[in-house]
Formats: sequence, structure tokens, C-alpha cells
Amino acid sequence: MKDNRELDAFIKNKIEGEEVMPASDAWNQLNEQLDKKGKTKKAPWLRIAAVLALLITGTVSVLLILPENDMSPVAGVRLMPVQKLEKATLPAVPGISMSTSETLAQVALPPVLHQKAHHKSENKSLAENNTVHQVAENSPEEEMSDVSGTAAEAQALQVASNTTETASEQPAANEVLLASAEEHKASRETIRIIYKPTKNKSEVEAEHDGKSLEKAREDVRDFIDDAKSKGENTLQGLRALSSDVLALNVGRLKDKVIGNNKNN
Amino acid sequence: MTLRIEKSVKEKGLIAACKKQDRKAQRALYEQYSPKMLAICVRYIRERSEAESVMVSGFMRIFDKLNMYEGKGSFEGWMCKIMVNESLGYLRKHKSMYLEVDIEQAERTPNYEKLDESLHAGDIMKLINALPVGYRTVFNLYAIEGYSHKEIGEMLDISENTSKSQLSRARAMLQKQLLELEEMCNQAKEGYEG
Repeated sequence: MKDNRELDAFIKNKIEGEEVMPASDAWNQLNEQLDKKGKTKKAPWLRIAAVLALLITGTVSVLLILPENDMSPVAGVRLMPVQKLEKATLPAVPGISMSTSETLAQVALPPVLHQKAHHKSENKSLAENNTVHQVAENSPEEEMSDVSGTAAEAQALQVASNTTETASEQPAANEVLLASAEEHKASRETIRIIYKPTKNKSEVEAEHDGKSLEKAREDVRDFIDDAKSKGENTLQGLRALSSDVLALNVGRLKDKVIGNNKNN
Repeated sequence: MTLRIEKSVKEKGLIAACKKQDRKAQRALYEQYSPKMLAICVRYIRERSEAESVMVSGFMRIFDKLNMYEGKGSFEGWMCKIMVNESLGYLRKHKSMYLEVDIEQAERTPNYEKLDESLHAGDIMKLINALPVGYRTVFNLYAIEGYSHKEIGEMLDISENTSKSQLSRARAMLQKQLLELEEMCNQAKEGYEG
């Protein structure tokens, strides 16, 4: 045992710290291997980047190729594609800022409803089409009194749901649209943009002390002009906008949308 | 003391630069340690060119794993372990470890004091290199690197008893050769004096 330890210690002490000079080209070998390693380390990132680029390109291509009609409907309201929005945008009404009319225009009729309205308008008389317009004109002001900012879309949803609840109670207001609404009530895919026809034209006029719609619009326009001339916030003017004017715009919007669909 | 601190600071700087894949620093590290690392490889692998290749791949591994070195313990010791493992990997791949050779036990123990005067490190290296691969590996791991039989068994995938028997045979062989060298030295001394 002692002999073994002596032997081990002797050899260890003798060779410990021993150096053997490598051949001169050993560094070149190592250098080459380090170069190769550096290249292979970079390669995975390039590959990952290439795969990501392909994936993104593929996804974008698929989305662009997909037909517009394949856009899945969102419960309640379907937003129109940009191209349609442009067509559906109403001309600016005096007294209403562009943002207001654009916001309104963004509330588009669903394809089913477009078809229904289109179909009906082809088969039925012009009088029926006028009814659509008229009902829109007679829409109440409560739901649309605050149209500022981004709340407009949410409001439109609210209006749509209110309409669903109340449409069956007062079917006389708009036969065409209500008929469509009832037909599709069971199916949640159907979207209805029908303004609650709670009051008829005479009632609305009575509410405004017998003023005509045109008169109401003039009042609002004067109010906004007055506010502008005084340097007041025009938003106040916007907020004071008469529901009749809004209702009128909604009616025009529907006509415009239906007209656009017809043209398409 | 000052020199040791300076060396440590220099070494830390070199390691930090090597971690950033600085080629100049890598070369500096290689030039500083390659002779010692090659000496380790040569103890395990008899063929010089093979030993050099293993050293090169050992340095590759060192540069690759440098981020794993936490600065605790000797950096040289950490590199030595990598070189030993690299050499063992080569042996596992290329050599049969279990060459059993019957060796007669040496009649007496050599006089290490006399041998120390007359033998150089290179002579001892030759003796180690003359051992069969299994003996040499176990002897290196046990006597030089300081591993236990249990650790050697795990490293070489052999039993502890196999490790012990290989070490015992390696020692017997070395003792015998050292005795022969001692006798040669004695004869040479007598001839010189006579």
C-alpha cells in the first residue's frame, strides 16, 4: 500500500506541469473549426428568419385572396370592408362634421339584409322603398343623441339590439325591414340595423313643437355656426345635433347602402 | 503575491474576451495553455497526431462551454477536466479498454530518490505511454487526476473492481519498468566510475 502511494506520488510529481509543444499547424486547425462553428451558429437564425418571412407572406396572401364575402359576421353588426365604406359614406350634411357621418356610415347592413332589401325593392313598389326611407326619418333621437368619438359603433350595436326587442311589438313601422328581421331573428347571423320605430312622423314633429325636420336642421346649423363664430367648442354643437337630422342621415345611409349593393 | 493577482486579472480579461468570441484572445488562450493540454492528451493517447486532434477538439469544447465557467475554482483545472473527458471520449470510440495482461509482481520497490535524480519527465511519460490503454487510462485517472474507483467506473462504464485490477496491474508494470531503469542507471554509474 505504501509502495503504491510512493509510486503514484513519484510519477505525479515527475510529470505534473509537463508541457508538450503542439505542432505549428494545430492552431490553424482550431482556427478553421472556429470559423466553421461561427458560420453554423449564424445559419439557424437565417433559417428561422426565412421561415418566418414565408409564414407572414403566406398568411398575408391568403387574407388578401379570401373573398370579401367570406368575412365571418360578427354578432350584431358587420363592419364593411374599406372599399365599401368609402362608397357608403354619406355626403357631409351641413351642420354635421365628417366624422359623424363617417361613423354612421360604418354601420353597414349585413349581406342577408342587403339581399332581402334588394330583393324586396326589386319586386315591390317604389312606395315600399319610400317607407324604408320614411321610417328612418322618423327614428327617435334617444339612441343617437350622443355620437361623439368611438362610442358610435357601440351605440349602433345597442340600437340594433333594442330594435330586435321592440321590432316585433310595432311591426307597422317598416314592413320590409321588419319582415326581414323576423325572418332572421332565429338565426344570430342576421344583423339588423333598424332604428326603433317607436314614433311616427307626426309624433316626432309634435315633440319638436310642430317644427318641420328642415326647420330642426336649420336650428341646429344655426346653433353650430353661432358656436363657431363665438369661438366655442364645436363639439357642443355636435352634441346638440337634433335627432331628426341624425335620423334623416340614417335613412339616407340605408338608401345609399342599398343603392351601392344594387350597383355591385 | 502581486504576480499571482496580476495573472488572475489577466486571465479574467482573457476569458471575458474569449466569451465574446474574440479570435485574438482565443489564440492567446490557446498559446498559453496548449502545451499543458497536449501533455494531458498525450498521457491518454499514445499517437501524437491523434492526441493533437483531441486537444484541438478539446479547445473547441472549451470555447463553446466558456460561458458555463463561473469563475469558481482554477480555470486551468476546469480546462484539464475538459481535456481528460475529450481524451476518454476518443478512447471509448477507438480503443478497447480491457486488455488483460498477466504481469509478475515486482520483487522489490524501486529507489525513487535515485530515480528522481536520473529520470526526466519525458522518461516517465514514455513509461506511461508503454502501458496498455486500459491500465494507462485508469492509472492516469486515479494517480494523476485523483478520481476514485467509483468515479472511474462511471466514467469508463466499468465496475469498481475492474478499475482496481487495472490500476494494480498498471502499478506492477510501472514498478517493474522503473526497477529495470534503476538497474540500467546503476550499471551506467558503475561503468562511469569504473
